[in-house]
Amino acid sequence: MTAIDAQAGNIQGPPVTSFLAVRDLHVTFPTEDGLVRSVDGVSFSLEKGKTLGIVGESGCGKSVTAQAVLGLHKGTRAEISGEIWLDGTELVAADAEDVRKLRGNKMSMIFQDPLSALHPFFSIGSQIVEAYRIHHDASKKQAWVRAVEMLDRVGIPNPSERARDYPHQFSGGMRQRAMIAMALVNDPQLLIADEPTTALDVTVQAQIIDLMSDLQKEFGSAIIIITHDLGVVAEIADDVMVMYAGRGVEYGGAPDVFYSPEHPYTWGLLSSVTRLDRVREDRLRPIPGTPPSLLNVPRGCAFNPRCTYRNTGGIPCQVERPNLVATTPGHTVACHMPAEDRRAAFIGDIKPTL
Amino acid sequence: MIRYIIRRLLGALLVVFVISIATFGIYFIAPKVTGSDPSYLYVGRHGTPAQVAAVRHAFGLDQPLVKQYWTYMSGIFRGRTFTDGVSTQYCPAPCLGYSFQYQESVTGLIKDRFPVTLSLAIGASIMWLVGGVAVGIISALKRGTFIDRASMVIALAGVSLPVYFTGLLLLFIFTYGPPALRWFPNAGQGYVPFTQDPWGWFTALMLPWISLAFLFAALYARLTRASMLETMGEDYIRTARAKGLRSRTVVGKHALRAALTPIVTIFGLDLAGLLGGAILTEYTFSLQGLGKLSIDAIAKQDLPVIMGVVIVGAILLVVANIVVDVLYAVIDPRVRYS
Amino acid sequence: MSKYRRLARPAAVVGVAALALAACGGGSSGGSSSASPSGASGYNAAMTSIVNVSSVNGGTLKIGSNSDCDSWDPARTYYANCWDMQRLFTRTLMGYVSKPGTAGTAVAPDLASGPPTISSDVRTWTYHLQTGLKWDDGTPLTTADIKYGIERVFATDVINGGPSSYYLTLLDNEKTPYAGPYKDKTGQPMVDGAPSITTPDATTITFHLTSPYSDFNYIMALPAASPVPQAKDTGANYTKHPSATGPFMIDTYDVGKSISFKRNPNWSQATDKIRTPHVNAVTVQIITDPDAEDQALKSGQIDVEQDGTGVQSTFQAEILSDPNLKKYADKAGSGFTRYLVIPPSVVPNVHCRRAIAYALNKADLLLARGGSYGGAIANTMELPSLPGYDPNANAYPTGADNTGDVTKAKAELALCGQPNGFSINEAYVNKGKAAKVFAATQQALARVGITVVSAPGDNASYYSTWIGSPSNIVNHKLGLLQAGWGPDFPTGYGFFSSIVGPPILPSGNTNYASLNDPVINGLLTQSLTATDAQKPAIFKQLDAQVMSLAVMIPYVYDYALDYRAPRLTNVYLQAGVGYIYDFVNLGVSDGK
Repeated sequence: MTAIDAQAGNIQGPPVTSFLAVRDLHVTFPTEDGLVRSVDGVSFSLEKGKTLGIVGESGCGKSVTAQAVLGLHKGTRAEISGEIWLDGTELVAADAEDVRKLRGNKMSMIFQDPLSALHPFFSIGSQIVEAYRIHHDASKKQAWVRAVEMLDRVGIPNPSERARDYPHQFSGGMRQRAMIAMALVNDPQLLIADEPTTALDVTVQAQIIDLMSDLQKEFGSAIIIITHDLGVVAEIADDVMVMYAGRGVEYGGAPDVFYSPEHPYTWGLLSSVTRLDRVREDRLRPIPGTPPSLLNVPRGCAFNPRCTYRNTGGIPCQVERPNLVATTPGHTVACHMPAEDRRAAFIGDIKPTL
Repeated sequence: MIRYIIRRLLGALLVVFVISIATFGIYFIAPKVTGSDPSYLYVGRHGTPAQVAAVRHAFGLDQPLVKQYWTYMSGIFRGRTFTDGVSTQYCPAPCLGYSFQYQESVTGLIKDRFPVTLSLAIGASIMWLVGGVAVGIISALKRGTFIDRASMVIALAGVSLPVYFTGLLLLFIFTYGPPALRWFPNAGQGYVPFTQDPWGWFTALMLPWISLAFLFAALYARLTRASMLETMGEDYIRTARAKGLRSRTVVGKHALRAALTPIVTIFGLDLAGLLGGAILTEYTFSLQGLGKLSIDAIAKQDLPVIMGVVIVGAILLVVANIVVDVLYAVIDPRVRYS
Repeated sequence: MSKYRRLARPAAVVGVAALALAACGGGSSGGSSSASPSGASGYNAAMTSIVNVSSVNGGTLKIGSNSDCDSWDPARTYYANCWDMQRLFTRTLMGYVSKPGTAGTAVAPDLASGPPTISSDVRTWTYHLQTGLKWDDGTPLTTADIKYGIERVFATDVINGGPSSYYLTLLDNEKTPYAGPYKDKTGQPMVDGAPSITTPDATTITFHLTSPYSDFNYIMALPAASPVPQAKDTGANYTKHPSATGPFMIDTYDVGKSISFKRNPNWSQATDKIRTPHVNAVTVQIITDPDAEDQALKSGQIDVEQDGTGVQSTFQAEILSDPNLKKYADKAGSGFTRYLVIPPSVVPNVHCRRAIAYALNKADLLLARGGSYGGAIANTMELPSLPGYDPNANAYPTGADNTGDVTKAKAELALCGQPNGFSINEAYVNKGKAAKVFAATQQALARVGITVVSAPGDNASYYSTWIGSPSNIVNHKLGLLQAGWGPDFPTGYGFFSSIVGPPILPSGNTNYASLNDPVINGLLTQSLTATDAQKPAIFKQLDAQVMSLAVMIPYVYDYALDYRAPRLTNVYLQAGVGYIYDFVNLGVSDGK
């Protein structure tokens, strides 16, 4: 179980003990149409050797959060506030150059579509070599050896020949393995995977997930896996945070979130997943409505326009924003509904349909 | 790759062949529409019909079109003999005919004028490539700032101002203007061969280079900026930054390589087109290059010169096309295997 | 991306920018404006006097030109300014005297030792060559060289482009024409069964003409009558290195690019009364853009423009507004009459034609041709420099202000049965001044109900097959033809013969009105045997007759505003070649 910061809005909290701790992170982009609040107060923490799954629909701020951890917003027009603590170092206020030295080194990231995320003009091997040499004082030859070694480690056959090939010459799954190799070449202690399997076939997905799991056991790194695919999260995550409109709405251990979810949005997500062992109904049950524009987040609870339990019993869904509040130890939910009502609603309305 | 090149070369040959036929055709069809006969331009004011006929015969214009075309084209490969009335002269292959106007081998004329156009084109192209691309990159990186907006406005001016305007303006100030500003006194007086006087060659070409380069640099700045902006938004740039690469490596190695591929393609074609003659610039600065040669030839309906310049120009462009395509395949590995 | 492949000279666009620059660039010209020696320089001084008379020798004359001459082969060039350049290195039996004003239209012996002996039927002309004349390589010049030079003119397939028709008509017969020395190595031109050019000895040459021709001295003054050494004749290539008999010879010639002349050591001043060269070398620099050429002239990089067509509007504006510049300018001319032809084949009624003549607005037409510095209003066909010119003659007066006599025009319309006017097509080359003339005629004639419709011709073929073909004129009903004419040599016959009399050619015809009037033909024939004293009356009458037919309506004599660099000496406008500065006699005051 991870230690969770129960006071989500408290910036000057107690000293951080987790390996990675994000406190009240805000990332806002000024645009001509107004301020886009991509990340609107997100907090979580993670220990080494553990995996956090961040789930949510497209546009909920998951990738922006991940990029903020990596410091990719530094030097852009984004406004960042809050704290990001990585192994005792605070990153938001840190110098861009210091964060750069950690990037790709202590913390690294793999991206969704490896075909577009890898540079088409350079061979796989040279791209891995580059990632290695920027953080280590090694000759090209030494770096090449290391690159081949990594390709082998991720399960690419004939690694010394294939290292000379270009990204477009790899199949989808092999490409993602290569990307993982590149991300791990410097033995990072934090690996962020942004939708790593979305662009892959189902069978290949499983292989990639297994690979990541193996590597975690071997290297003991912390993994954040960002996805909208609950099946993937279920496989690999220790903790899960559900994000909506730039905020976390439910956060807890994977068993809690999957078997005892207490947020209407999470219920909706779980209902949307098709299962072979479920009673076949005529149609899927999507969550009604669409995600809000981050320029114009609804007043009060961001989810309220789509929530069937809105305003029941006079709760101020349209007026006041709910904060993440603990419901059981290690499990927080941001919802105005009283906990008993939520559990009752879950057991009564939702669970039978899953 | 070799097979690819060979196929392209054969296609190129076909294109040049078709262009030669088209040019020949236009030359002869146009007078039927306008009612003129090029021979009239060479007989002086009171040309009697007998004299006109004599000139037509001397130029071979009284022969059937197909025969004229065949004579011209086979001369390119075999060489031809010409008479100047007194003696016969042999024009060795590749013989592009004898100019009606100058009574000189067209091949010789082209060889003579080509260094001028070459100097002009290469000098200007280096200037605009370096200048335009640099401005484009800076504008893209500093998008929305004053530098960006200012350079794009200047670029708009550059694209809108015709070469003859910029050229004459420069001449009026820096060659014929107030004595204190006459920094380039020998501009506008023609070409100075490099072997004869390197410094003179340089100063005489500086103003034409600037005029021509200004126009193209503006275009390339805008193009580079757009290409850079597009490239910087690509996923692999984000990956490069995520790897912890320095900003200058991300821009200089990852972004630039991809952003410049369309620039390289266009540059090859622009340069080849200019090598066929930068007509306006040559005219404004009295540079006797291929552009001037072709304009004079058209005015005097000097068919052999027109054909020669067109064929040479077509070959240059077609070859440039192939080179650029091959270059693209070298730069972008994805193209090689398609 | 072919934005740069157009070619149009937007003088107006550049003019605006250049005017702005000129205003802030300072008004002084490049050279010093210190007081000059005798032959005071002033505006238009070179038209009537020799400006800056000086015996200072040495230096290089720097000439600028828009383009290379059509040919440097004396037998193949037809541009007036190129004929002027020929005086640098080519001498002929007779040559134009180096005098300012109309006196310059006279010819005097050049290679000849004296005027020719002429037979009573004006058909046999005998010239004597001076003794001791040499070519530039030192070989002696003989009459055989003159004979050969004229004979090669007959090889019209190779030696083309020059005024060959005079020689072909006067010195050959139609039945057995001479093909020229390249094809016919043993023959020669024959008239009446005998050789037409005979050289009894090395210094005598006799011409037997096909018919009387009182202007034959002028034919002998054209560059086409130059001697050519047979040993050095390379046919079509002779233009690249023609031999010299004059004070200069070609030093370097880069075809189409530049040419330079150096002194000819084998020329002797004692034998030459026409030329008094002062400089050691002459360079011709080709500056294709006319505005740039003007600036080069203004800044002193070149001393004079070879083209002889005047400065562009930008520089003209500067000159006219700055007295320090204007005193070096001359309104040169005229060598050209601009006129409208009304072919009787399309407009048969003389009254309809006269209506047009009265309705013309000559003041507007002068503006269209460039205003008061581009021309002068013309009321006669003959140029002011030709014998018989009558400044008071005006067959169709267009009012005191020259804007047209609408009343008389309408009266003539009534007489020709078209009181409400009619429609007529005007032929012209659709650009520049010609387009403006079209607009002016359209406007002027509209006042009396005559609708002028545009019928433009292509620039290259306008004179050869558009208005130069009588059948084309009829086919396209071209009722108004814009034309200009300058004589090949400044005599009445030289001016009129090609434009008012036979032959009428099917193409390349210059008698645009296809006139075949017995009175006119009679006067022309008469002039061929007349004495110089009789000629003015003949041509005055001829002009009047042409005007009465109303087939050619002159409206402007072309002038050009020329500019001469302040350092030039001995400057005057040579009337014989058409009022262009006489290059061979120019010197430079600083000797550089």
